Amino acid sequence: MRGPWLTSVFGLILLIGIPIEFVTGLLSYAAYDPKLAGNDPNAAHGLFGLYLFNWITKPSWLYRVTEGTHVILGLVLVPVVLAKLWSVMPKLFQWPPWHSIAQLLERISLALVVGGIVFEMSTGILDIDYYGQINFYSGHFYGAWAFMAGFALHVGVKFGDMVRALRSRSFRKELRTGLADTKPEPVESSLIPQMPADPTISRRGILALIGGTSLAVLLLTAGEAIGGAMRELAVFGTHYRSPDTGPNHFPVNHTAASYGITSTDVGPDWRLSLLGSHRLSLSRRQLLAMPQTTADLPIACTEGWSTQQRWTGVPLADLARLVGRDNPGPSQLKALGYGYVILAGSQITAADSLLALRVNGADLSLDHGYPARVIVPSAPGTHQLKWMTEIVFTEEA
Amino acid sequence: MEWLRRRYGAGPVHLAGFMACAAVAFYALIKVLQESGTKGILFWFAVSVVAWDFIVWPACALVDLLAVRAQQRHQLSRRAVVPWINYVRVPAVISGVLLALFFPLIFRLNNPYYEASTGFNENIYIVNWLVVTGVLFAGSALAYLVRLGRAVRRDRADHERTR
Repeated sequence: MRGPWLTSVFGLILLIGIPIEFVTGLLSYAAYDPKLAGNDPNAAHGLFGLYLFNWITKPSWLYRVTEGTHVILGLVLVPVVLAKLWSVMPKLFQWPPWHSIAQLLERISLALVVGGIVFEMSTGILDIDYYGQINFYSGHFYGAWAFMAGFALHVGVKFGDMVRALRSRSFRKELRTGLADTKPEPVESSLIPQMPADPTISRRGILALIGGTSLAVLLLTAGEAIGGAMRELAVFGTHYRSPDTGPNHFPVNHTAASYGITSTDVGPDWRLSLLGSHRLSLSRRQLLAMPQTTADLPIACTEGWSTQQRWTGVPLADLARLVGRDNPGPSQLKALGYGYVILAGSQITAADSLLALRVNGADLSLDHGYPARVIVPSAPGTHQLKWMTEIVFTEEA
Repeated sequence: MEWLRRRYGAGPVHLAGFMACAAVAFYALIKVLQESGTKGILFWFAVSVVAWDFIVWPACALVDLLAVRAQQRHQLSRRAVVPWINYVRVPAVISGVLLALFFPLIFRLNNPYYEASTGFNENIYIVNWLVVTGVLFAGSALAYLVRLGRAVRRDRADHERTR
């Protein structure tokens, strides 16, 4: 049943899906606020960073949705990509391989498309499976640009063919055609095998097989990003299980033990240092005595999983004001174990940006960042440091 | 123009498009080498093409071909009234794709890191995969038996009528 129609159906799905992947991927890079020194995982970005803008804090679920879409849709598209590559396999053995220089160059660009998509899928998948083999940030980011260059050319060359092929057969009629009536497409095309064997599956059967596989992948992973009861079903997600019970029962990324953080590090001697026009050191009790704000905000990981909880703590803007920064600019957060990240001034002053002390009405557990963690609307999870020790506020220039 | 078309095989837009594509790809290559400083990424890219085109795909095609042949032999010997090939393909493809997507978890390839991150270990994933695979094959077998039962009954009814 290989032929231009089937290839074009898969092509159309990817023509919609891949740009979504590209845009959500670019947004994820922008969400790291790479323009703030120290945040940039792709310091060599050059012209590929021209689109960057200051990441926004509204709506609070923005990163959760874009990154959840990027990862889950990426996984769901894998069967479609495999089917598309399967459907064009006869082309690989086309002889002679090219008729003109134009065709030769086109085939070179196709190596970029095929190699690029397999590269992007494999780096992404290995990263979320905790089995990264190469520098993920470099490979996945620059690989995406190289792939999209080939993809754009491929779409430019083939778009007309795709539309023609889709119009050549009725989709509805195809869904009513069983195996007995499945014949090769009556057109001249190098996509059709020269001597096709008798079909053992109908076109609708192939579509059902690929669609069913994508659906299975969706059902078994989407809960990581959607949460609730769906999370239990995401049995191939890294974060479908949660330690503890009660208020702290939600997934942990990086346990305290993995950073060697013990209860003595965060005991009564723990202090949060604030640095602005002067230095201030606060104990947890002093922080709890300040006016508290409660907000429902997600933790959304670059790896696609996310979880929304109810956080209570001190607004970061209030902390900035305590050390004389009424109009804070880029500010550096430091924490036990992590190192540091920089938040933009707009992230410090956003209404629900908190130094969270409690979650769902209880103290944070050690694994969730006790004594205090930062939570910022729409920021990637990697910027919401746990076990906070210091904030260095600057004044907006 | 005519000269270009004759010598090159396509119009000027095609050539410009290819040049632009090559420029972006080459720029990405320079940048990635500059940033990660490793040729591992290039190697990975090459492996991506070769692994798919010349290893994974032919291997899957061969397995499928063998299954189709076996199915045809069964049909010739009339041991199967209903072709079973797609009742094997569907669970095998779904289970295979899940394995391809999650093999590092299923085979516990980086358990220490996983444990440090989540507080759990990776032991559960092989169980999850086996259970999902089992459910898929069982469901498929059930669907096949239902169809086979219907076919056998129809066959018997036809037989009765012709007698």
